[in-house]
Amino acid sequence: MTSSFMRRLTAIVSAGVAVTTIAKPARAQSGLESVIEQYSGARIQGYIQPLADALVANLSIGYINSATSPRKFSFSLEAVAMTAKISESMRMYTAATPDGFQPATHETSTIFGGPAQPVQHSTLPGISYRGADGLVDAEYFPTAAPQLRIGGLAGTEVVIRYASSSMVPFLEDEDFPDLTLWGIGVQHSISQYLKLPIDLSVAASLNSLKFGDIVDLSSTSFGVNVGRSFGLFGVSGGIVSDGGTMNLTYTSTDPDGAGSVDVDLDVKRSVRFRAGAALNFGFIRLFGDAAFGDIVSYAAGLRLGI
Amino acid sequence: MRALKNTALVVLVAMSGLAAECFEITDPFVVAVNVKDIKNTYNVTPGTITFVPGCITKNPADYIDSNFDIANGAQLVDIIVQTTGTFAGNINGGQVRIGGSTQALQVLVNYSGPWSAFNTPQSLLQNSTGLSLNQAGVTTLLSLIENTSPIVICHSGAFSQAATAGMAIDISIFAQVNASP
Repeated sequence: MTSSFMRRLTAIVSAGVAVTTIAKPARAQSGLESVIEQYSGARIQGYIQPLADALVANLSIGYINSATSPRKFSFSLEAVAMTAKISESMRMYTAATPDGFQPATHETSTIFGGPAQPVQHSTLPGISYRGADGLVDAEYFPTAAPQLRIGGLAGTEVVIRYASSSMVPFLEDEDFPDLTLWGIGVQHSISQYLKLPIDLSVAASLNSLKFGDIVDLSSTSFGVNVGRSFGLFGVSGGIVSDGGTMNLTYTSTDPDGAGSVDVDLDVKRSVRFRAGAALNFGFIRLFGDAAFGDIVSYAAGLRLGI
Repeated sequence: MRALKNTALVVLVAMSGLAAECFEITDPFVVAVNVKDIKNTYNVTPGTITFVPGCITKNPADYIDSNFDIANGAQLVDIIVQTTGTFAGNINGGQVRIGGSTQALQVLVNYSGPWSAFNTPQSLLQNSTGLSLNQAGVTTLLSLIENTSPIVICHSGAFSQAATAGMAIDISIFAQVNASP
């Protein structure tokens, strides 16, 4: 290998080590844990479902830099940030009140909603019930991770993504439990087999995200991409199908369902259209990605590599 | 090329800053915390007709995690009265009184009816035969919870005939207090 190659490789590895070694102190119980344990397994779904939807929308993008996979060996480190737009429909939900309460349901905040208001019993003065405030006050819900990309494997590119709490500075100790995120994405060139005027590839990803011992989310995505490069500039587009499951394991203090809770929240598989662009400066590439569907999410990243 | 690299780094830093900027945690973030363990069991002494068995005290540590910062507001959601054991008579003028001390009690709930009817839990929200809520007691209870004060709970009432062995009366109070983790 040339000394230039080694210098670049050293720079890439050093950057990766720098990103992954920012330490944080141990955490106490977070706001997310505190709110989840107030709800029974039956009641928690409406509050937390928008978080599951936003996370799956985030995790399924950011893997695609271009619609083709390089034929020769390539290696790069990337920093990618994804963010999902929080729509108004993700801020409120129809929640069940305690068994026997009138009214039997009320409109209250999800995790992305505002302050909750107590609901008064319709015939029993002095009896009332309140849900939790929304925990996150944001137009967009972000996720970020460094990722390692290896290409040139028979027209296949593999991306490995990993992040923990120490790498995501906007998730504070007192709000979210320890985060562990990993993912693997694969993109395989179809245009290498066909004579086409554009690049064509298929892609898939598998992602896992955990918040402490309470939240365990897994998601998958697969899709087809087309694109083309014009010198420094490349564009791509395609369709992506994503879905997943969020498992919650905790001890509820809800009198209507106190005790151990182990519940799966389904994130319904949806099809979204994606569009991306990249600016390629050789060792450095800037890329952006957006997926449009039930949830709109965006990704942007910086790639350092050969 | 150097200019392009610098541009790329600026873009990355700006991107991170933007992500942090558009992401805020609700402050104050208020959770309606389920107040636990405000309950009491009165084991009836055989032969009893009129009962005033004394009071018990629930300290704040019994009902709220000290890690929460109490915000403004509390809710009474339900009160459940249940009897255990077999008894052919009635409960007359049953009361649960509540206060910060035995000298400052307010009636929280009145209950009356056949003992056997209370073998099925009677709650304000469900099966509320024979239960009636007293607003002054509700106000007292919510004030004590909001101020994380000790809560004194007292039973009283009478039976239509002498109590038999193996009888008990359970009282459970389901309340919430608004608090920040």
